[in-house]
Amino acid sequence: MNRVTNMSSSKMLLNNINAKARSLVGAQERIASGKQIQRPSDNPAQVLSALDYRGQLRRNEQQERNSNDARTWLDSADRALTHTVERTERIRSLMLGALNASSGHQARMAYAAEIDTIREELLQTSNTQHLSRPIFSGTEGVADAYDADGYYLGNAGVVERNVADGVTIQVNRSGPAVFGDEATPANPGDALTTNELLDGNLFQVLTGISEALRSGDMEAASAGLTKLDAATDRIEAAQVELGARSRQVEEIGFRNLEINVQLKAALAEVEDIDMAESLIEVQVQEMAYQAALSVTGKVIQPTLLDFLR
Amino acid sequence: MSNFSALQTALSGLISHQQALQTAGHNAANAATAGFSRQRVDLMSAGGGVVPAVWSKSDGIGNGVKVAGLIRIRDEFLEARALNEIGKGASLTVQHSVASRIEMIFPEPSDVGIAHQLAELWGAFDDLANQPGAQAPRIALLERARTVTDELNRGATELHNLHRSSVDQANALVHEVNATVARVAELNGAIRNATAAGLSPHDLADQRDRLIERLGEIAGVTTRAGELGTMDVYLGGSALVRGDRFEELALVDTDATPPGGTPDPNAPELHRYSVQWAKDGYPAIVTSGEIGGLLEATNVMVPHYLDELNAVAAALASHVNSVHQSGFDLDGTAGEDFFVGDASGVGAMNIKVNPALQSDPNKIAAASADANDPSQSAGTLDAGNATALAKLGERGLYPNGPDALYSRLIGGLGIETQALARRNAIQIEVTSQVDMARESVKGVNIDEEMVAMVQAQHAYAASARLMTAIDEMLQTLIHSTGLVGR
Repeated sequence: MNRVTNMSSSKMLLNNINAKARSLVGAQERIASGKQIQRPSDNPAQVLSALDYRGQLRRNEQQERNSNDARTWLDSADRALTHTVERTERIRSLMLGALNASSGHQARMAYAAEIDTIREELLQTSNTQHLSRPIFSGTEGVADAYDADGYYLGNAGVVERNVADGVTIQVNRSGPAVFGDEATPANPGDALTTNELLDGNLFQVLTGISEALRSGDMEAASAGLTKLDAATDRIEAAQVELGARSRQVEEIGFRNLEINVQLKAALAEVEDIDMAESLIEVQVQEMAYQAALSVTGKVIQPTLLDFLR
Repeated sequence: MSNFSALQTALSGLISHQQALQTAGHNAANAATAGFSRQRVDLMSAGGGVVPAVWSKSDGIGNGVKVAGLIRIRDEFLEARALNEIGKGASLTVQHSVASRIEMIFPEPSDVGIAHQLAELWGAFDDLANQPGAQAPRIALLERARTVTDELNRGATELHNLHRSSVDQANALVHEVNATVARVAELNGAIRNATAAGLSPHDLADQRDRLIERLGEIAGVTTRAGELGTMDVYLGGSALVRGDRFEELALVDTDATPPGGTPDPNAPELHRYSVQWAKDGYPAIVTSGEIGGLLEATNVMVPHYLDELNAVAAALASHVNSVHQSGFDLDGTAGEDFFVGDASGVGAMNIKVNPALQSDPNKIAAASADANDPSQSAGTLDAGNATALAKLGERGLYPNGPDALYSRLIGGLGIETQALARRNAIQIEVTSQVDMARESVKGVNIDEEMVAMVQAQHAYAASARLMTAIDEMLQTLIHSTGLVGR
């Protein structure tokens, strides 16, 4: 530049001051917001990563919620089955007492009455609900899984929870899978005979046993004991299975937590500023701005006019 | 050589230097005037008579000084370059500001943008899967879905608004061009008349060139010097101003429905606009300047992002609807459309949650079809379909799903805005350098003017002293000669 004119020098100085002020404001904005990317153009690649991490994080949190729900579901099933097994033990000991030759008619009637009461209790347990929904009724929209006669009201539907990407866990067991297949009368509408009852599900077996004890049919009663053992085995098998699933869900939950921490760290890495670096940046920019201001103050003042008499 | 000729020499010095002094004063007074070109008095020594006559002979000594002319100091090459760079710069600045405004419509990454709302929607489907029989998750899901559609509607509306305001702005600028060219032509006429009369209408020329610079900023024009100090202005090769005549421009909606005609079904959602010559309707080529930038924004940038947003809305509707329709609702009937648009299809502007679902949340099809009988629900409390819907949000599973398309939109927007910001910054630097270069030629330096002033002042004083000297000489001659022996 050959000549320096007043307009060009003031324009240049003004440009410099503006540029410094812009950098300073940018650095201050980053500190104030704590974010290094505020809009897509700040760093398109990082913004896309941030969007991706945020989506994954939201999904991860949802899966955590799903696995919590899965655990409460599995836990209520486990409680119900534990209780059922306990009560069947009691029935077993009652039956052993009843089958003892020394027991008289009166005693057997008493045994039968207690078995009936326990059956009622078990029926109630089988209708255990989770979030106002019976847990053993499959996917059928019914209030109870079993009616008072021990007939299954639900279906074989599967209830699943998506607990991790690509991992779906079945959280339910349908009634028949736990309590056994029910018996149906040969002619619809007929009442079931004692022997038919003994081929049915747990509740029907219990009805059958009670009937056998009351009528003194000891042969049927001891057959019922075998059926009861089989039913208990099935329930215990279901309990083991559900327990294993509960542990699996728990482990996946731990892993979800780890992933959550990792994702949050990755998101912070992409989105958040390095505070120390940014503070130094602000200091540097502030110094540059002040230097520009003081230089401008010195340069703009003198002209030849100051020196002419 | 007469006695008085030396007085004339002194007088020529007085007159010329007074003019030089006045010019220095004029320059100093305009030190801060934008677009002012400094002026110089071109002094020339006045020689003696060139052709000797019998009684009039030149002794070879000159006859003082004369003002040959008043020069306006500027570099036409730098001026032309500056005009070009100003046009480009204005176009980029406008494009960058439009891109930044589009960016503001999509506040990402944040907890309020569409990306977040979509993630919340997928989460709401999962919540429904956990409790397919309850009302609360169904209502929450509908609210989430409505937030997403509201957000899409808002984005589309704001893009429409941006388009409209760009058109309004371009229209106002076209009017400004028309007013400015009329004024330039008028000044050209005045300059031509003054120049023809032997005057130096430099300040009129400054005024005119400043207007032409504004034309360059608005529409990116080029200039060519005409006769008698006039300046012709060209827009894309056609004359906008020639001498004292000018042409007007008009901004035209090229997709508009002709009066009494039927709307073109293929017309884009956002109409395209072009600048035409008012007299014959031929398209005028405007590629730079603010209008050039606004046309780019109106015809290319904003429609592009609206298309992408429409694609997001369409993908959202098609993905969700196809899964939703394969499911069954609480009453065991097959699912309907979850998202609907209007008769023209589903776009970001018109997407909404199916009103039938809004009024009856039980119609949300959470259950999937029975494995043995696809025409039947797998069970009232089955949640297979809700899980399938929630899976639509899983990353990487749906390369053309709404999340992927939206990410692509944001990525493209970020890259374009960043590139425009960089190009704009570079252009500003280039423009300011060219500006500085031409300012260094034509701008006023007060020190320089002070020197010129002191110089002229001294020369004036010297001429005055000469006049005194001659006066004294004449006084000696008249009063003191011829008195011998008195």
